[in-house]
Amino acid sequence: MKILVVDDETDVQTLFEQRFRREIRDRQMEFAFAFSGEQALSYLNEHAHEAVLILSDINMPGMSGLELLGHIKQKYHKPPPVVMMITAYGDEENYQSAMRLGADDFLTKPVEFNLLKEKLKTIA
Amino acid sequence: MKFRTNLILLLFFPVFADAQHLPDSLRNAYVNAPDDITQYNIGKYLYDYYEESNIDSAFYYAQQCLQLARKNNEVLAEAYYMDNTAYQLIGLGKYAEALQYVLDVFKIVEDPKNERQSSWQLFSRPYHGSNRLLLLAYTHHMFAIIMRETQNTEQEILHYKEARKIAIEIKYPVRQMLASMNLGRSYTTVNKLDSALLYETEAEQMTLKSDYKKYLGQVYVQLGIIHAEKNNPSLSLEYFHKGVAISKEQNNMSGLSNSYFFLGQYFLARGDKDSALFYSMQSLQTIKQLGVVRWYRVNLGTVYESVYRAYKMRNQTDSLLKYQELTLLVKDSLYRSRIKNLTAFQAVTLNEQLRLQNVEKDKISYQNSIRTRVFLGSTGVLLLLAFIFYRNNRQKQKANTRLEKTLSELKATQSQLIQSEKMASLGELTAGIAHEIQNPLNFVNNFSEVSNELIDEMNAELNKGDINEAKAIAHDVKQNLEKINHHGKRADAIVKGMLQHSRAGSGQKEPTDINALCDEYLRLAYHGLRAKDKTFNAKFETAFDETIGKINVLPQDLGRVILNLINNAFYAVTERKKLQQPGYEPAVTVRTQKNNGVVLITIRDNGTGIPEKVLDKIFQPFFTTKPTGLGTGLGLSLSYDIITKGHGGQLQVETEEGKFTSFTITLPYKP
Repeated sequence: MKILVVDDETDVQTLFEQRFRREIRDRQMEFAFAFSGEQALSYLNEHAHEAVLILSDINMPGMSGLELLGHIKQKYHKPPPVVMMITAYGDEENYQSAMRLGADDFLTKPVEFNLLKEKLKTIA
Repeated sequence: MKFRTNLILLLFFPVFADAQHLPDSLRNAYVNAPDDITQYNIGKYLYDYYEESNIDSAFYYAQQCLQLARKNNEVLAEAYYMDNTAYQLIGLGKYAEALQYVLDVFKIVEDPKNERQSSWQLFSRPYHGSNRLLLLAYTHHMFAIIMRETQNTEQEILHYKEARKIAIEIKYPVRQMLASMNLGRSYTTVNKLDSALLYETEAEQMTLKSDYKKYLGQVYVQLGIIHAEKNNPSLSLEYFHKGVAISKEQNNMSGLSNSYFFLGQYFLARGDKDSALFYSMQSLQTIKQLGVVRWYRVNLGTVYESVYRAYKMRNQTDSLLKYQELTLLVKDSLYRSRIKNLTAFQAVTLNEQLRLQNVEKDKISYQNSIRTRVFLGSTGVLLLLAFIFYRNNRQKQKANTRLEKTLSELKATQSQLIQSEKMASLGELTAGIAHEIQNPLNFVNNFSEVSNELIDEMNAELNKGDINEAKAIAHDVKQNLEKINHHGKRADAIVKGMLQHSRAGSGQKEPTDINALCDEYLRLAYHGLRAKDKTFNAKFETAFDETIGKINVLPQDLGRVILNLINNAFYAVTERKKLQQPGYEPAVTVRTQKNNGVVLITIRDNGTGIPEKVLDKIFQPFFTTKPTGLGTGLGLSLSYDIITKGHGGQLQVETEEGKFTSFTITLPYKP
């Protein structure tokens, strides 16, 4: 399973690579990283249909995670990939917008990695 | 009639002096009083009882007595309760209304015609001299308190002295004692400790000789503070304890909360964790009984801060966080209301100034008409005219003196507003800071957890004998520890930055990394706005000249300017985005550049721009285009002063309405 993680904090890459160390080693999961909404879109353009799951932060400078979600769900993929939103602002408003735009799940920071692993396994 | 009232009071006195709580029967007696004068006398008693123990009740009875006196045309009694109303209003932070009352009382008591306009009793000590002059002293005292609470120390001292002078002339020792008591505090404020001690000791001696000891607690607190400043801690501690005892006895909650508060401060300064917490908590309990007081020195905000600092010293994380949050919350709301109240206060002083200017104008037109008559009239009139000119001139001089006075008051208010603006911007930052700290903390937690798992795996590999794999894991653990350290430092820098922002500033220039400063405030401003307004979003970019290195600036002040300009930029792009122009992408850019002996910092936004007709006003104090309540109108004028006067630099603006605004800070730079 290929997962694209979108977050403006670059250390997220190291963190995910270590948290999913075993899964990556056993080739159950493969990760790609983008550090802005714009980067994520260009990655998706170049690697069409590769990523089956996208994990995106909402609060990023420039294109926000919600805008990215809108682009992905409306324009890019048929069938669209699963998109999970992650945010530090776990408020009702963000949650509603994410759901309206078609997010498949909504997580609040700090991310509970064991919970995330369980969710990813059910999708895979 | 008077006899009966006194009897009622005498009957009740022992009961509630012990119980600390007023029995309902006295309030019933007030409601069911047979006539106005009896009701006034009971109301007066109730006011005195609540004056320093509950602000809302005190305000209520001051208003009641005022109405009763007004209804019965007891002019001086009315004036007396206007002063008392003003006193409670100051405690509530409503300086403008208080000032209006006090100015009105001045008009009444400065008029000798009102000498005998009252038969009702005013002050709690019976007085048989001129009640009007005693009231004049009292009104000067009240005016001085307004000046104190709005940080106008010069005027404050002047008016206490006037009050004291009158009190001595008319031989009313209690009034003199109260003026001296407050002068002790004023002189402590300006750090003239010998004068402070002289006045405060006078107040102490006079109180000890008198049977009026209501304010002895406050006198002891001030003596404690003065002795602490004079490096005499044991004496200071003794006075604070005496302050507690006597304030309790006198049911003076104000004095009691002050005594506890300064005991708390005393032990905080000495690192005595248990006592610091105990007295701060006592102070908190007492101040809550007083109601929502906004006294500048001891209020709910300063008391919460004291409790928070005590918990911090004890390393009690849960309580620490709770009170830290309460401190920020209460202080934030107090500062907001303080800005509002000071602005209203400023408006009243401004009105007074305008009124005086109008008096001036009227006088000039009056003079002109007289000149015309002189031209037509005979020389005999000239003589009379000379006299009129002479008199006008004298009046003009008087008006000038008052104008100058009002102006100096205005200046003082302005400096106070500037301090409030600094605090308000800290409040705005709080949300951004919380978010900025949350991110690094998440990393610290995550990387330490994952390292723990890695160590288990490494041990397993070692047991299996796979040294290479174990080494690879050890390498990862080391990398994680570096990450933890990096994010810990990041959080540390944010907290340090926050502390720096709230500090008044040492006034010393320090070598500062301009790029780091810009980056820090850009992120704080962005996340602060983002946390306040969930829909807010904008692209921000930085273009830093890495060759700048460190240059000598006032870091807090310059940070404030950058924060202000960035906040304005984000505001402008948000406003333009509301216009929903197709294809509009909000963007804010911060650029630094080193150039021939100067460093340039440019903050550019593609927002609404500044209309040409207001462009020459934007650096003026109190000018703002934001809706009421959203801006103080001081941000840019303060920024301008910091850059030009504080750094000898320049602040320039380039703008096109509807397209962009670009502010450039130019700082002289010595390599």
